[in-house]
Amino acid sequence: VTGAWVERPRVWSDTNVEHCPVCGCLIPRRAWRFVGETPLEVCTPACEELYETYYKPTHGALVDDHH
Amino acid sequence: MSHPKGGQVEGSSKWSANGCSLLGTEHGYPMSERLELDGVGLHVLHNALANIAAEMALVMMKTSYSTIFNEGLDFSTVLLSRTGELIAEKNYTPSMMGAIPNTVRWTLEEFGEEFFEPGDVVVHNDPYRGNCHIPEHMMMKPIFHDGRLVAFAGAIGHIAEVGGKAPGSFAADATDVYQEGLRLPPVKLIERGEHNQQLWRVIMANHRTPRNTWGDFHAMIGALNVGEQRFSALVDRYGDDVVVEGARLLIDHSERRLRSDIAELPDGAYAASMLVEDDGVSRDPFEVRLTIVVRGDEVIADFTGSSPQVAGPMNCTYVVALSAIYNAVFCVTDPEMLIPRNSGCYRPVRVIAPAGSVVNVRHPGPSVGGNTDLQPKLVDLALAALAQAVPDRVAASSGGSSSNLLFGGVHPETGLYYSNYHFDGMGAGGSARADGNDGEVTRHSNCRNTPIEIFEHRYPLRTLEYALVPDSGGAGAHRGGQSTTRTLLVTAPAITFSALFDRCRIAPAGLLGGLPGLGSELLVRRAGSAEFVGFDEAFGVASGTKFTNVVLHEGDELRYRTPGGGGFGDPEDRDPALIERDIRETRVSREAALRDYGALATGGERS
Repeated sequence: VTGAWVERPRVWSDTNVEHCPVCGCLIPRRAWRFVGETPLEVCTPACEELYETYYKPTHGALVDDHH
Repeated sequence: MSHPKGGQVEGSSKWSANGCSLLGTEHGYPMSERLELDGVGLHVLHNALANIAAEMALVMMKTSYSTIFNEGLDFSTVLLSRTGELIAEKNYTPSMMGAIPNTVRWTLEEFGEEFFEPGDVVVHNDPYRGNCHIPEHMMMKPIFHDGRLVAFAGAIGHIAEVGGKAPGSFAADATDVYQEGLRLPPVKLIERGEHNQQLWRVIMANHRTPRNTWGDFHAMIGALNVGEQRFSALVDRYGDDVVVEGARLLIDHSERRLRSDIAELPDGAYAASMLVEDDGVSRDPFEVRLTIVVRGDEVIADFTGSSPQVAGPMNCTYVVALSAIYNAVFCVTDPEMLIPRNSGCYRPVRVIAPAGSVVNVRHPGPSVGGNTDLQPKLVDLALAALAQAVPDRVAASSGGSSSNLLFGGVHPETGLYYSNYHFDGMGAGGSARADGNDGEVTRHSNCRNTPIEIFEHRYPLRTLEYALVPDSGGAGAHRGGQSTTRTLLVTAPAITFSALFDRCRIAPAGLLGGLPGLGSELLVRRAGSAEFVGFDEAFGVASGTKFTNVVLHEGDELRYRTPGGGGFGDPEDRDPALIERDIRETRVSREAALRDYGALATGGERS
């Protein structure tokens, strides 16, 4: 994997949640950021691997609307 | 290496420790104080951890107030690592598999390890943060040893009443989460051993049956306390480094074994799809699409292409989709549960569930029925996909609905408000090996029904009939299981009912030539009326089987039929002796036998 962890700071009163654009699971605070065709922030390093080996070959490149 | 209790390491293994036994002498058994983490030692450790989880479950069952806990067993108790990995469980309810580790892991990620202090109990029912649906409450208690966080004790269960628009907190026509009940992100119910009274007051003021909540929450807390005490005794005895490392090795062991089992499945992409009849708000069906990819020693379950999330509460959360896939994968790889169930079993399985779809609801979409009525169908769908790979290890569709019936009101004998969440057994799908089980609560919940005696003792309803339904199991080489029917007489001046039944208009599917099971039904007969009719006809509700807050009065009768299981394999291949037995035992009528099995039912020759 090629990415790195990035923090998504939020104030304590913010109870919203965000989802991983690849697998859909929760991203509670920090995200795993890597650069494919465009930068993507996913839940874990394992999801970068899932994206490169399964998601992109099956469904095409993903554009993360978080950016 | 010094032991936390001051003893010295005497064993040859790096992971041996000489501890102070808290368990050995009191029973008079010469118990070892040393644990080698070899095969035997790991087996001993696994059993010790699993027994702690089982004892926690007993505490919950014996001390809870609600029938959904002490009769239905709609809960699980667990031990987790300090990073939130499951290390041991008493999992009565497979539907919680996805939520258990993720509620803890994501709470740790959101707040950090420093959030947890000794004596804390954190409660959490947020469906968008890793829980199954609003009624499911996960409680987690950090376990410290010598000031260091070493593990968590966890208890997750369905609290029978959590507020919202309907008694029983199961609003079949809810259009957002706020109608479903009080939502709690991870918050401290107990802080450093003291009740967080402000939070308790908020909860007690928003649940309709606060006394039950008080009792059930304390049953969960009691289970956590027992888990903490027993786990602490274990680390006192063997050393926390030994127990923690042993748990890690057990997780790795389970991962290796499950990967080995998955590797025996044929590689490939196996697709299946299904329609679900409605969402409780509209009459429109929605679709779930699933492709299961077996790739070497791992499985990818991809729900891409499923319908966008619906308006009503048939959406499910991400962890519910996760649980369904785990369930199906374990069914085809390790049905005898020989592999210790811990997070190692989850590592080889990845799930893609697009956010904002019916299999991964986004805030503020409702989801209470997604756990009870979409999840069992997701298991069925996954098994239908895997039938292409391993047809000898799967089953046809189960009834696939928990047949949720909620009611509440003021009890005429006590003057107290009561509320209950009730579910019942349905038919399981026939499998490659056998007929489906009769009257079995959905395969994802694994719960028990509530005995009539308990039911009538607690609630002003009399059971007039409770029976298996003839001809409800789909015909097949292995027949689907029979569903159940109940008729309830209202004996109070008024009871408010809600219902979320499914598989009424789209029957449970057969598999590999098997025929569908009989769909479900929910009827009412008003006092003085001769006929049972649908709730839509009697009360003008949009759906006769998914509705909220219909008031029945003394003398009214409610009758329901749960769905039957789908048949497996061509009916032509059924053993004629089994057809005769089915007719003799009134499981199948002679007319249905002639229709579905033809000449076989009359002793004729196989064509």
